[in-house]
Amino acid sequence: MEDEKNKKIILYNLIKGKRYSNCFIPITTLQSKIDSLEIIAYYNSDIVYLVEKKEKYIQVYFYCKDSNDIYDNVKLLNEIVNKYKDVVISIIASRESKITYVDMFKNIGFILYNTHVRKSVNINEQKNYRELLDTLYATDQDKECIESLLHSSFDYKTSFLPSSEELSTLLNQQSIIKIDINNELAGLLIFEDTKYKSYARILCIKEKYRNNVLGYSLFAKYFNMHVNTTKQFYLWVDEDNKNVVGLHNKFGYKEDGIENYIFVPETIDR
Amino acid sequence: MKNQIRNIINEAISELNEQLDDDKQLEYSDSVRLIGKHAAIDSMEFVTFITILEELIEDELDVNMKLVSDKAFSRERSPFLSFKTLEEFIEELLSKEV
Repeated sequence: MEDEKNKKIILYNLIKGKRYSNCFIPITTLQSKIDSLEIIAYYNSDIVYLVEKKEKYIQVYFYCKDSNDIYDNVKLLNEIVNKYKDVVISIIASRESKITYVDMFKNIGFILYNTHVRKSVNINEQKNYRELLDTLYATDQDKECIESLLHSSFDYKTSFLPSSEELSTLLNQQSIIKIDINNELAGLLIFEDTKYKSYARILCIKEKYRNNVLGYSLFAKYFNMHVNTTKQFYLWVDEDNKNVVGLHNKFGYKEDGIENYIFVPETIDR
Repeated sequence: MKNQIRNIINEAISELNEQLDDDKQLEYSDSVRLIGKHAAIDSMEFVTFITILEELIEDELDVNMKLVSDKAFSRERSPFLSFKTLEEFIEELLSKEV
């Protein structure tokens, strides 16, 4: 375990030539997180593990030359698993490779905890959806209610929930729309935009209002907001969440074959 | 007024039926659910139905009415549960218009 050297690590040098990875975060972002000790690196000459402390779990990224390096260095991974609680390793890959990854992780003591599927839609013609209910941008004043709703609705390990700090950023950049009913937060949609794409990150509706009308209204607003700027839309959804399939279909989303496999040590109960 | 509202709802059902598959055709019945887990129509069809209904109310009763609102949703018993509850809700809204 070499985390004590963390502050002096130049990540670029460590991961040079190690192209087998589950990490898509830009190297500059990773380096600054290493410098600020938000990410701790554990490594030897074959493999680098980056351990990121999220609010409620530990996300582990790896860099190596090929999958054999993961088998050959399982001792280092076990040390990380023993040191931290709630370790999660996620792999984004094509659906065809699911069995390969499940087998590979089984051999190093991990089980598939959850699968998220990616859906996408390309909008080629402008369409305006009717917004049934009034939708507003969420503000800082909603932050506590949003956190409470998110944490009571989702499994924190698998749902890409924003940290408190990230939530503030999303609120400031007006990336959360909401519907209030009776002056209370009833539903919200968190989205993130790049220059040409938009990504609906989380749709969350309070349990008693889960009848698809709020979900529809939020998506209608979301698409209307992006009608002149965006053609490609993406989202990730838990493959077991059948309640939203109809809603996604209505807005044209289709599974595009990319999936996110979330693995946890098999000692952790589901 | 009650009969008039019932006729408008039936007219809206007929218009919606033109867009629905044969096995999804609706008819006025208290057991048909419009929203929720056991809804007979999906969210998009619900939006279409409400839009048709509002247009018919405007055409036939000369009243500009917004049926779906957070106030309507916040009620203990949703007015959108069935045709019957919707009929009562429209009647209530119209009585406030007078």
